[in-house]
Formats: sequence, C-alpha cells, structure tokens
Amino acid sequence: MHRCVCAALAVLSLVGASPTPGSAPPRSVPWKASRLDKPNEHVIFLQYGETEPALKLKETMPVEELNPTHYPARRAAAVAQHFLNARHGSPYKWFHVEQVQSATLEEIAGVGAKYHVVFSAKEGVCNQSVGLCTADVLFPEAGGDQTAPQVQCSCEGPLAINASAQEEAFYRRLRGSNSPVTGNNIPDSFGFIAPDMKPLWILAGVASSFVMLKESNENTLYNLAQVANVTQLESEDKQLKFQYHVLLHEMVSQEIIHWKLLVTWAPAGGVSVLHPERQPHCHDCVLPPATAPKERSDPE
Amino acid sequence: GSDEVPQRFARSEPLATLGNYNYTKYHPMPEITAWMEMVVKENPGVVSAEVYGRTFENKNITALKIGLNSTSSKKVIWMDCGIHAREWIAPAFCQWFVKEVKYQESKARCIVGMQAMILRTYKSDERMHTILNNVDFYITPVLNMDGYMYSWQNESTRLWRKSRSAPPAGCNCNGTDLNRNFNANWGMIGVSKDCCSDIYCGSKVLSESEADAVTSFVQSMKERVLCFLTIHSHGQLILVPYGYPEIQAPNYDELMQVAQKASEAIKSVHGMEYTVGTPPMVLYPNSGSSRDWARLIGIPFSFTFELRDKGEFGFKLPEDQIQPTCEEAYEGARSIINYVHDKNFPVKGGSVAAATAAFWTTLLASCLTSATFLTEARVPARKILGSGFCEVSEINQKPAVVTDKATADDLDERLTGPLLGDKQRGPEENHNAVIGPRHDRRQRFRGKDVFSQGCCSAFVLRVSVCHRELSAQARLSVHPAPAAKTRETRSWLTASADQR
Repeated sequence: MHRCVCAALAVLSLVGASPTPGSAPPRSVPWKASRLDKPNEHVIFLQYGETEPALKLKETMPVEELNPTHYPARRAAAVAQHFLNARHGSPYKWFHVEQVQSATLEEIAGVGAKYHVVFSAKEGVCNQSVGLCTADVLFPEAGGDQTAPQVQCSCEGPLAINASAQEEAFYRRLRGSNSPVTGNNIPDSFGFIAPDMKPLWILAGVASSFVMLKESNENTLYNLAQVANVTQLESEDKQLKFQYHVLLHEMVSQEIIHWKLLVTWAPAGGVSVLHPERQPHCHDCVLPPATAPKERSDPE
Repeated sequence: GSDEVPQRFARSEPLATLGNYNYTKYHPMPEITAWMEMVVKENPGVVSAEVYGRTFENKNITALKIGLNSTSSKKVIWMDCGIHAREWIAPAFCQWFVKEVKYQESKARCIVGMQAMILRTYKSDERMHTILNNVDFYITPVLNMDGYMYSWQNESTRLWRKSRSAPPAGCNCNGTDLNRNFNANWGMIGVSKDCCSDIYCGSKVLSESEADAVTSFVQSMKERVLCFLTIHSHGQLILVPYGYPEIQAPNYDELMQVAQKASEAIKSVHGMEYTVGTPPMVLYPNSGSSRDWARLIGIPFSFTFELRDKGEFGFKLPEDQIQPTCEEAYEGARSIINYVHDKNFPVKGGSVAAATAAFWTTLLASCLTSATFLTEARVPARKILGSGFCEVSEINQKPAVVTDKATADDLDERLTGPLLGDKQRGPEENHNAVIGPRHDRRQRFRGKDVFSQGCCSAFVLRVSVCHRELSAQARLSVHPAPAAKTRETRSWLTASADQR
C-alpha cells in the first residue's frame, strides 16, 4: 500500500465567474416537485443509435429547488466530478462525489438548462475529503452548435492534493523502464487490480473523464467500467504516453461504450487526451489483448 | 459447451461439503448449482429445490424453498438474484442470504440458555425461527443463468446484461433485457426496440422464458406472496414501485417508510448510504420490470435492491467487498422481511421474552465465571448424568440432584437427539427442554419451555449440544457472523472448542 503523502495546500479556485464557494448554501430549503412530476411534461429518452437529440417539450421555468437525492441533481454533480478529474486528476488523484447537498435548476430559454449544485467530494487515492464543492453545469439546448456541457466548479478543500512523491516515482519507473508497460482487463472479472496497475487504472479514469464530460447530457450518467487494454507508447517529449482502450458504462441506456484514447501525462502538467475515438458498438465482440510495440510483456 | 467453466475461471477446490463453500468469492454457475444441491441435501425438511421454468438454453431455473412445516397455504416471501448477468454481487448475496437464514434459524433452535447469552440477538434468532414457521422463502440465486454463464466465459463477455435468446427477424443481436420484459406497461418508456440495445424489451411481452417462468410461478401463488424482492447492482438504491412514471402505488407512503427503514438498517452496518425512491425519482423511468409487475398483480410489498457500489468499480465489485455488501444488504432485507411478517403475524408477548432473556443473561453470567463451567463444557451428557444432574428448583436454593435413571435417559435422549427436522414435537413443545423431577416448575413462554431457574451444569449440557450444532453452521462462513453482537458468541464458542 502506498503511503499517502497528502499535504493540504491552498484552495485552488478555477477561472470563471463562478459563485463564491465561501457562503454556505441553505440547508433545509423545502424541496418542490421535480419536473417529472408535472403531468404535462413528457420526456422521451435518447435511444441508442439515434443521431437526433432527445426531444423535449418543456416550459421555461424559474429557478427551482431540486431534491438532492433525485437523479437530476446527481447527474449534474457527476458532470462536475468529470470536470474536476479532467482538470486536477493524475495517476494518483481521482475525485468522487460523496453526497449532493443541494441543487437548483434554471431553464434559460434559447440557452439550455443550468444546474447549480453543491456536493461533498473526496479524493479517492488518499481518501481525503475536499469539502464542499459548488458547481454550475450548463447543458446546452438541443439543436444548437454546442453539445458538451459547460462547467465551472470550485471546492472548499485542497484540490491540489500533494501526491507528488508517488507521482514522481511512477513517472520515473515508467520513463526509465526498457519494456513499455502494458495491461489488460483492469479490473479483472473479479474486481481485482494488481498494485502496479492501479495508477494506470486511475489514469484511465481521469482520461475517461474528458470523454465523459464531453458526452454528458441530462439523460446520461457515465462511469468507467473497465480498461480493456493499455499500452505505453514512445514519447517525443518528457511526457508519458499511453494508448488506452476503455469501456464506459452509461447508466440510463445501460450501454457499454468503447473508446480509444491517446493519453499523455507528466507530474508537472496535467493529463491530456488526444484523438478520442469512439469505437463501433460491439455486441458479441472479443477484444484483442494489448501488445507492446517493442518488447512484449506478458500481461499474465 | 456452455456448461464448461474455462480453466482461467475455474475456481478453487470441488465442493465436498457445505463447510468448504466460500461465500466471499464469486462462483460460476456449476458451483452454484452444486451448492444448491448440497444445501437441500444437508437440510431435509427445511430446504427443498423447486424447478419452475427453463432458460432459453434449456437450463432448469431453480428456487430454494426454505421454511419449517411447509404447507401449500403458507405465506411466501420471494427473492430473486441475477436477473442481469453482469451483476455478480447479486447471486453472491442470495447465497449469503440462504446461509444466513439457515444459521439464524439454527441459533434460534438452540437452547434458551444460549439465546440468553446472545441476548441482543435473542429477538432476531427467535424471530427468524418464527418467520420460517409462518412463511416460506423462495430464493432464486441465479435467474438469468444463460447470461450469467456467458458473463463467465472470458473477460470480453464479463459485462453482458441480457438473456441469450436469439434475435428477432430483421435484427442481428442476441438477448433481451429481462427486467424490461414483464407485463407492466411493457414497452412504454426507458426501453429500446432495437435488439442490439442493452435495454431491449423483447419482441413482445414475456417473450423471454425466464420472465415467463417467474410470472407463471409467482402468479400461481400470488395471494400468498407477502413480499417480492429482486436483487441487482450497482447504485446503492432501494427502489419502490413504480418504475413507470405516471402511476403511484396505493400504499406508496408505507412502501417508502419500509424502504427508508431498510436503508437505515443498511447504514447501521458499515455506514453505506442507500438512496430510497421510485426509479423515476432516483434512477430513470422504466417499464416492464419484475418489481412493477409484482406490485401490479397485488403483491403489496415489492422492492428492487441495487447493491454496491456507486460507480467506482461498478459491476466488477472486488471480492473483498462481498462480505460487507452482503452483511448490510442482509440487514436491509431482514428489516423489510420483519416488517412484512409482523404485519401479517402480529407478535405477542414481546416484553415477556425480554424479561426472560434478561434473567438468563444474569444467570449465565454467573455460571460463566465458575471454573467448573469450562471443564464440564467438554464432558458428554452421560458422564455428567453418571455423577448426577442438578436442577435448581427455587431461586437461591441449592441444586437438587437427579439420580433417577429413567429421567436421566430421557434427558440424555433429548439433549443429544437430532436438532433438525424433529417432527415428533409440535410447535408448542420445546424439543430442547431439559426435563427433571421438577418439570412443573417450568414456565412457558411463547410455546417454549424455559426454566424459571437454571443450573450451571444444565447450561453446560445445553452449551455442549448447542455448540456442536452451531459449529456445524459456523463452518459455512469463512468469517464469523456479521454483527458484533454475534461475534462474541462465536469467539466464546471457538475458545471452548480450542480447549478440547
């Protein structure tokens, strides 16, 4: 088990006109009926394979309180989580929503649906709370140019958790190694992850967050289901470079969606994702195992 | 063939006895089938197997029926696991549940003295025994056997969800989402008509033999079914009817209250939060689910459990989380089962039981401090009888010694006779009674004979017999029983066993 060196650093505020996280949100605001309780609402959910965006008939509504345990607030918080990971994640830093505390929704005609959500979060590797996070998540209206949600998010606690000792060690090990690292099926069918594969799994989660963020809308809830394979590639610069094939689980459609990602990372910078490629729907397919470009390392 | 377990996935040793079975590992279908056969074989009169349908690939869909004095008119509680192939923690939970129910029931049948020692579980042990007298459990450990076996084939098939039925004409992919195939607003929302989709609802309602089997079987006994539980993962939710958004169950408030209480019971075990609500509130609207169908045909309590986790590992929950997940889910299920049972079989004499239990604890505590206790724990009944058997006739009086052989023989027979499946004794008679010349001094509580006073030797005899029985059950688990309350029992039992 890695000894976690998690020092608290100054709060990292993100660029943007985000509301100040300092003021505590009201705790016992009574919850009003969610949109789906309204009888004149009718929502058809996007079916797999359709290219047309989901059709929604709704009225423009004022800002309304959302029940924090209901799915609209939780999906918005998940999007904020993807944003946090894309911005701040690393092979040793992975953020998770713990609990949604409060949320509101504002429908902005001609623009989209803007969620304001307050949630507690923690970093999973060091198991350290980052306190309350406040996020604005804007899902653009269907039919426009934008499809990806726009997010602003900041947290009370330290997002720049100091995991540099482990990150440096991991970086040096992979940089210095003669045989490029490969991995298959992480976790395996029994949920097991070999200790030396764990940072590659976390890195996959962080990299997938770029995709999950971009692909999210009000009718999706994404998670990384599995790393099918990962191969370390030669890198021209000082970054580590990996080819990933990941499986994402989308909860509403229950689909497993395959993506190929080119991922770079170095301790100094963050994670970058290049050339994300969605793979065709693979119903009964068998995935080829990873093969290293030079020396093949035995995945078993 | 599909019955073979690929070498890569072959697990541990072959199942010789139930004592070998590891409930904290995932098991392939052949091992689960063997386990079911063993459970039936080792618990005659309590557990039986019922085949109630066939999968698409023609496998027998089997439920374990667990109950005491089963009749065709007993009330029923239904539980199914593994309707979705990749949700491996669900079948693991069904197996755990069976193991736990049997264990709790065995403890309840143990002597009153033992029950006093595990005071805090007195009520629950007693309760499980009572529940099994009043209710039959029907537990299907793996409903979607074809899908489950397919998910074991290799790493690429691990995340399969649906059945393995052939595609309809004009479409190219196998399988239907069984939990969209039931006759409950079928095909309306939260489904796909594309057979390649993971929420494909089928070519028509009940197109799938697995869904049809559940429908026919439950329908045939629907007036008797008190509660329908269907176990899934992941998400940490307790879902109440309906998944279909436009309707509300008439007992919605009660369903929410019961589910909320179950959520609190779950949280009390390991602190995990399980959100309670209807699917349109907390997950997504959907139609054609088994839970909805059960409620629609009039089964008053119908719940979906979505077990751990919240997405970090998702369907591939690590094996080291099997035990804590099962422990908390068991408490959640039991909370619902207790409520449903008590609603239909009102509990009497609660305060009397509590007073009895309190008395026994005090008495047993003083017994345990005596040195002779530990020695006598290892002595078989006959030896003690040879030197005389004591029975306290009045509180604070000296024990009287029984030397009458006829009484001693009877005593021995009752102490060392079979504890399971004892048909001669009716529910009112305590088959664990210790008889002596002061028979009339005993008081009756809820049909069980209880000594008004006890004797250290009597406790010892009871303990040694009980120990055998509990040890047999204890070997079923890799780890001791979940709650701390029972852990102290186990460690005490282990301690005395170690002294043999």
